[in-house]
Amino acid sequence: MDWENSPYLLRKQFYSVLNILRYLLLLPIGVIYLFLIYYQIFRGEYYYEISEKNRLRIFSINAPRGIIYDVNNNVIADNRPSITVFYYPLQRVNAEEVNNLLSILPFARDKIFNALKTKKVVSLGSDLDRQTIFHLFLTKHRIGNVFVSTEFKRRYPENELFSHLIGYVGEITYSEYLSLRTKGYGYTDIVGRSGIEKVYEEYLKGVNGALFMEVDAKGNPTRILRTVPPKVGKNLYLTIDKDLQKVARDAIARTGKNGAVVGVDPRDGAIRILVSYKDFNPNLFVVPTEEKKILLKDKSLPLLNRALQGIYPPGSTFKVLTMIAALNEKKFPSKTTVLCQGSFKFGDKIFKCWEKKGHGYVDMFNGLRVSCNVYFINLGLRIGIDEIEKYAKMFYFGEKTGIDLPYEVAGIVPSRNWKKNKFKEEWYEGDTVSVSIGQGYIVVTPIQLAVFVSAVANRGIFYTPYIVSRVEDVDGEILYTHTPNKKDLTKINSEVWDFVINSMKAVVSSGTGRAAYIPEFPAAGKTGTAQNPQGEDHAWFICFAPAEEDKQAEIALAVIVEHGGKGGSVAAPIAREVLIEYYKKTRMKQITPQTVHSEVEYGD
Amino acid sequence: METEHKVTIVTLKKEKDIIRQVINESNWYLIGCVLSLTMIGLLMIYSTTLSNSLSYVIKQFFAFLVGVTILFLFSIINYQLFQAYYIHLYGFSVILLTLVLFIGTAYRNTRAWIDFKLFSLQVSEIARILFILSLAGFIDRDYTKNRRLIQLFKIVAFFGLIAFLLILQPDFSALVVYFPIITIMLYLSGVNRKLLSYGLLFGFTTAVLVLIKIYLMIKENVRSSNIVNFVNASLNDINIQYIIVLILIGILTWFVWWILKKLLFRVKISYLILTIIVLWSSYTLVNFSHRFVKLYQQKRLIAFLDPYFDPTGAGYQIIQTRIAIGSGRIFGKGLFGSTQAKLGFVPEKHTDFIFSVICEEFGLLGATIVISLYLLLILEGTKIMFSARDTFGVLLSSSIVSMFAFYFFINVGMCLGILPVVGLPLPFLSYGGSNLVSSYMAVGILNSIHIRRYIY
Repeated sequence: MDWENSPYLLRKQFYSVLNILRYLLLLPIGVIYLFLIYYQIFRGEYYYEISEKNRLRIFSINAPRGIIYDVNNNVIADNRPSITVFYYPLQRVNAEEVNNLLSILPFARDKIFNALKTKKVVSLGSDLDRQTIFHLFLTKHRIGNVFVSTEFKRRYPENELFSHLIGYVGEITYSEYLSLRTKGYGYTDIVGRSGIEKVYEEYLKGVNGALFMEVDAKGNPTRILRTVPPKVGKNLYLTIDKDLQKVARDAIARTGKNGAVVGVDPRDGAIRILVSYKDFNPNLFVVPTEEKKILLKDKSLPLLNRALQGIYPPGSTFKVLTMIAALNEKKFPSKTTVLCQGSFKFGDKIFKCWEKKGHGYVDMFNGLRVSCNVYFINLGLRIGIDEIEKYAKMFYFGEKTGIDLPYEVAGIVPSRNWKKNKFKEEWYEGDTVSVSIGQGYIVVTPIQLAVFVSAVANRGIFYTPYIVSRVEDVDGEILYTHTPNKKDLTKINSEVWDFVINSMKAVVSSGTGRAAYIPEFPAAGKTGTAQNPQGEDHAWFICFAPAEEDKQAEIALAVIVEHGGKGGSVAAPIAREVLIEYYKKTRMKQITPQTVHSEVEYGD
Repeated sequence: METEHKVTIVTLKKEKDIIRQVINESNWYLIGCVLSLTMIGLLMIYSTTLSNSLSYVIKQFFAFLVGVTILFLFSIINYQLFQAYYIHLYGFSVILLTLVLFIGTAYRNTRAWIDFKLFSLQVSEIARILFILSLAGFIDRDYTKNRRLIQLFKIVAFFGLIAFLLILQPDFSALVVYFPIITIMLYLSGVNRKLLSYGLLFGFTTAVLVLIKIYLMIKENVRSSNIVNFVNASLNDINIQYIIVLILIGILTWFVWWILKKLLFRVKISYLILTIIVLWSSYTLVNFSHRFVKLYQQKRLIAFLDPYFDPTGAGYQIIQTRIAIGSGRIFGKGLFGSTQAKLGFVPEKHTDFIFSVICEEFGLLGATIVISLYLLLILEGTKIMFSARDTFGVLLSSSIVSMFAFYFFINVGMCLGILPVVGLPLPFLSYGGSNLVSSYMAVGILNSIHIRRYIY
């Protein structure tokens, strides 16, 4: 109906509605615009961050750990590539996807459910076999959210040989991750758990890289946005000599007993050999397996580093210290002779000499050569426990040597105060008798004895032992070099050293340590047979070589075979093998066959 | 019938130089703004479907060409012609909607498309325009008759048949759009406005109460407080709480009425009684309503109130779309730079949720341009509404403009998460040829009304 013809009332009716409608139509636009301003300006940054989180998946690329070399640049720890499967669950869980994944990787059940709970990227398994990976790729379109990549895993090519020395690595625990997060550790990282791997963790650990991947709503990767390459860890160069280590380890293993060998370079305290037997294969710890638990339960304690943590009475090897103390204090002239009849009666106790017939009249030189207990008991009683304690502490017994390896123990140097504190008892002269021949309360670690004998070889210059000589980064830039830590024992006279070293030379050339004698490479040493309540005696041998006039000693050894028997017949031959190998390596000469020692009866 | 015939002849006489008139008198602001919106839509469809195929853009472009042709065709045709043939138009729309139930193809359980090999037509889009024309024609016949109550029932029956056919498809979102069209037409028709207002009040309170009821039913943890528990109990069963609420409603309504009276408004007591009855009946209806809505539908209905109650299910769409809009910030992530949309976090990105893609790629700036264009469309539409030369023109233009405004508000409100998710497209922007063509048809009718505003 045209307006022309329409009645006034109709027009009024229309316009009243249209006037309201005009504003009703515009109102929603204003409301919408206010909401837009709120979401896009006031909450814009917040939503932008969420949208970035939505599309980004950050995969950490684990940095390979630094490589560890021995002194001759032989690799003793490196890395191998291993194929790893990562899973990144979405906000929306797809039951079919989880089932498919479970059917392919049934062993990762716990990890998958954990990932679904925490919504974090997890690695479902490494070192997967080809078939599993092939299967994964075939069903990838049905699984999505899975990312297969190469990771680096630690490898120890020499297996057991350096077990205690290098230690092992393991996956970071959650509490460790919380405390180490600020230092760039990820929650799937590997950390050093023992040995060099633990102590030099900060060098060995590289800086993790990252892969910034864009994914769509279903979790399928669409493209890689950015890659931050990982930084490889720093390489360590050790002072250890792989060949010597191998000879020493094989020699101990051949005895069928447990034991330890420590070899130190007396010139600067560099550790050349550090063997502890029974040992373990650190490769087993890289990927957690059942065998680790078996190792932990083993009664022969394969995880114990005997060189640093094994405490033993030093036995007759301690006589060297008693002798130094007596001579330096001038309390017992070296010419004095003592009659040995095979035993020494003190109070109602009888201390036996190892030679049942007795040594007859012996002076100090021969007393050490034949390791006469009666002579040294007399010596000990003359100088007293206070002097022995003073000299033992002077040679750093009873405290850690400070080697750059973890879990070292200090051993015990007994004294009057120590006994009073420990047992609430007075010190008896009988205790002094025991201590003066290295028995009783005194206990030492193999490394302490090795450091002690190298200080004797140096005529009183004491070095803190060390294993890592330098650290280099991949480009060969040196980040750390060891500087020898020198301590002088100036209180001991030069004549004392001459006498002691000559006596020790005689031990090897004609005394109880003849089993270690090599004419081309003469050593000075001392045997030891430590009685212990657990069973058969521990066999000790300590020595340094070459022991020649005007020649600096190059290697000092401490050998122990637990419950091995006599030091001269069990421990000394091991030292001899190591010395022969050392001679061959350094002099490029063979030992002539006829110089191999003939079978002799060795005592003590 | 005789007069109607005369009108047709008279109109045709005046339309001799129609082409010149169309060029001179067209509302070019309206057409320009519609064309700009379509261009933006084409660009956004290209951006969102880039990774899939070009076919979306090409199809939409052809629909656009068809749409422009139809726009000018409807501009040329005198809209007054439709008034005489309202019954035919209605019949045609009913036939279309019936036909689709038999020969239509289904997509997502909705049988709404007729497949013509080259393209498929969503008939409800065309039927809606036909319905607007026929209903306006019916109302415009005689305003004195419209005062009678029987006329209201006729209109309701008129719509009822269409609604029934749509429910059979079933296409509820298409049904929703009829609401503003019918409301505005009824208000203009002269039907008792008091009755209409009470109807609206009844619908509104019922809708709000249903939402509250579902919300309380699904979100059990909000029921810790006594008041909430009380309300929940009163909405679920006929019990003592329900009776207390009815009494409270009565007292409150009486109180408001009493205050209005004290303020010297002359409000009849019949208003008070009717209001109380309407509120009571909607409250009672809600008590039975939940049986007709399935759980997943309930969840979808209330997800916009608190999308985080089910962040991976019903709320997912809303959360992700809101993130997409917010993350655009002021200047957006750039053309083709959307992450939320392109990586599939936003569902239906090239159809119903295209506004969120605009917000993500062009930020508040782009959204402002789109909103301004819509504002211009509505303002020009309002102008046409006021300048129409006859009541039929007013009926048509006001219902078309309300329809566009309603589309815009529902769609953008749904993107922003302030309204429940209803699958309505954003005209001119969303992908969908039938909707584009029918929108151009509506704009063509508007333009036709505009061209003929001075012709008497």
